[in-house]
Amino acid sequence: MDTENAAPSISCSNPDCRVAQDGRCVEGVLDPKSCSHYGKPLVIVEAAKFELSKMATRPGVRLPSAEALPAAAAETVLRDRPCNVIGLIGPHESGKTSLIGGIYDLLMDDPVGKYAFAGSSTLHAFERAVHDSRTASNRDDPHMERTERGPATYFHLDLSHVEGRKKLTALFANRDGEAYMETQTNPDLAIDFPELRRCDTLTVLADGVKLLDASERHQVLNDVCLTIRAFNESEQTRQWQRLAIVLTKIDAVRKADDRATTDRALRHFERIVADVRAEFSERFQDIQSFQVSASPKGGAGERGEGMEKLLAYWMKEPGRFSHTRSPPELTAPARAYGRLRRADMGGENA
Amino acid sequence: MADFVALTWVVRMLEKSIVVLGLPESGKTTYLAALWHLLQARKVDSKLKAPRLRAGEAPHLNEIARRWLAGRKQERTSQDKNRTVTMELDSVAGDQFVLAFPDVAGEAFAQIWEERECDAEVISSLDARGVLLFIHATDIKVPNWIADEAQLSKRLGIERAKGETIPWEPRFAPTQVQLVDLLRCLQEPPLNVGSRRLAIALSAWDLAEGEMQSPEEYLAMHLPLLHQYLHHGLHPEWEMKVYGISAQGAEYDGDGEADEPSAGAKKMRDLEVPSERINVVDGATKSHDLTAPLFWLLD
Repeated sequence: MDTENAAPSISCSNPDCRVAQDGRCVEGVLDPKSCSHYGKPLVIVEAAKFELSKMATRPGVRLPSAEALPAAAAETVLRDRPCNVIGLIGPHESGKTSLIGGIYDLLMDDPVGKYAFAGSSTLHAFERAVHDSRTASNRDDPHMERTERGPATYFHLDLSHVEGRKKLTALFANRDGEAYMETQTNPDLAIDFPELRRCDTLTVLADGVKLLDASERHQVLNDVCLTIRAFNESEQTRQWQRLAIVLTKIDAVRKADDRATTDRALRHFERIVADVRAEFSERFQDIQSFQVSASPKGGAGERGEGMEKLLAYWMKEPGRFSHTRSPPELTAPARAYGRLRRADMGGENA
Repeated sequence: MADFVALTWVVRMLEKSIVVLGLPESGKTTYLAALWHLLQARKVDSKLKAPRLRAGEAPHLNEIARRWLAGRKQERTSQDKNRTVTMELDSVAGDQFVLAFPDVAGEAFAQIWEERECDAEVISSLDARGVLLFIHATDIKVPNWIADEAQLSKRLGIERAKGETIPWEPRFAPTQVQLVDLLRCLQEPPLNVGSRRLAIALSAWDLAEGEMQSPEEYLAMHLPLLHQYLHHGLHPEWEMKVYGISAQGAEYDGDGEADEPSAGAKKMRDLEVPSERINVVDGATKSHDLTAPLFWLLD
């Protein structure tokens, strides 16, 4: 290259400026020569020294998660071992997460009924769920975090029968309550909830606090019946499934201002159960009602009341394994010859 | 930070090994100090013996044994003091082996419960077939429920203290939950190595003895979730035993100048045979043999 004929090089102290290549000032000055950086040598700044000790990450090995299982991981558990899936249906704050956490918390002290704790792969999820019912949260009253919208996740508990030592797995499907309630207006939404088709016990919650409120108690009946009807209409329930109707927060019902209010709430719950039985007894293998208090507020009752009975129901032999009797469907052969019967067996083939 | 401090021991003999785990101040260093003294002093019967004084990190072993003899508290194992202690041992049957202790700082073990991660250097020590898990018998973080506390306050007619709400963090988890998760991790990839033997060492057993229970009964009462898991959740190929271990023997003198001398420590120092401070309870059997859990793990 002939250096003598080369154009004089243009310099700029701004390292981002390409005025030497394209003649344009990066600062947007129309006449680049009037820019304060033009013609000045490039400023070379010493690079900051990296502190390797701060930058380097320790070579860690990932360990199994302890969060709630996504559907794919739950499917793996289902294929791996005998498993009871429990679906929990109810509006926001009806006590779905309290039921899940309530069982876990009871196991902290002792086996629950005939079932002992045999492990869990979702201990972080359980601990997070029960934190606000523990004194470590510094709360005045037990509280449960709202379940975030999105696909259902599963809490996993391995249980062992204390006598037979038979190991069983419980998977509790957890989805935000509003998603289930929306099926009342659009039953087809339930098609996207695979836990409904797969669960062995569909557990529908009736909020005890709302049953005490005259303006809300009828809505509780509606929520229970219309939601189950929506699941049926969209054909998301199965005849081998069990249905548990659970009155939650029984402690609050008992603590009502007067006895008459308590009795009215309990009678209303009985009416809900009766209505459900009348409408859906043909649709489920069995329907049972329960009254529980997973996490009572204000010192109004024993923690975990009624949970032992409910757990025993959840952990019953799944209905999908029981024999079903199907009536024989005899269709007459299309051809006349096929319809002939032997005379000694009562055939009248004249 | 509710971190695990783990003193990890690896015993290599006939392809067998031991890993020692435990929460901070659960008694691992005291156990090591008492074990080293017992092996060197040879004043009480033990299933394992140290034929030679030679040991890896001998100055450290001698230092902690000296503190133990003087009746002074051990310093906590810190992250910048990672070391591997080794000692040569003989069994009564004449087998010889080397006991190695990769002494790992607690923060590495905190990752297992809190961050679902494990340092690569810790992973290598967790492939041992024998697991010695230390639990301080009286320093147990138990879950407390608002409902129970509210009911109690109501009965007593006192108002519960109120404060700012505290969001959940993994470190709030009860001791038994963290230990169940640790044992579960040891049974799943990448830490699963198949069948193992697990010895639970309830340390500071002298403080728990007043309850007149066997170590197993004590575990069932104070760590019921862990107890259920040990009997129903451990892989069937795992074997488990619970020991009550009192390696220290009494409350020792503190390090501070203002600390009052401990009456218990004085009583311990007055013993003619220091190894007799040690008590190991295995069911109904009581001895001074600190090597008994190690021997069972290797058997």
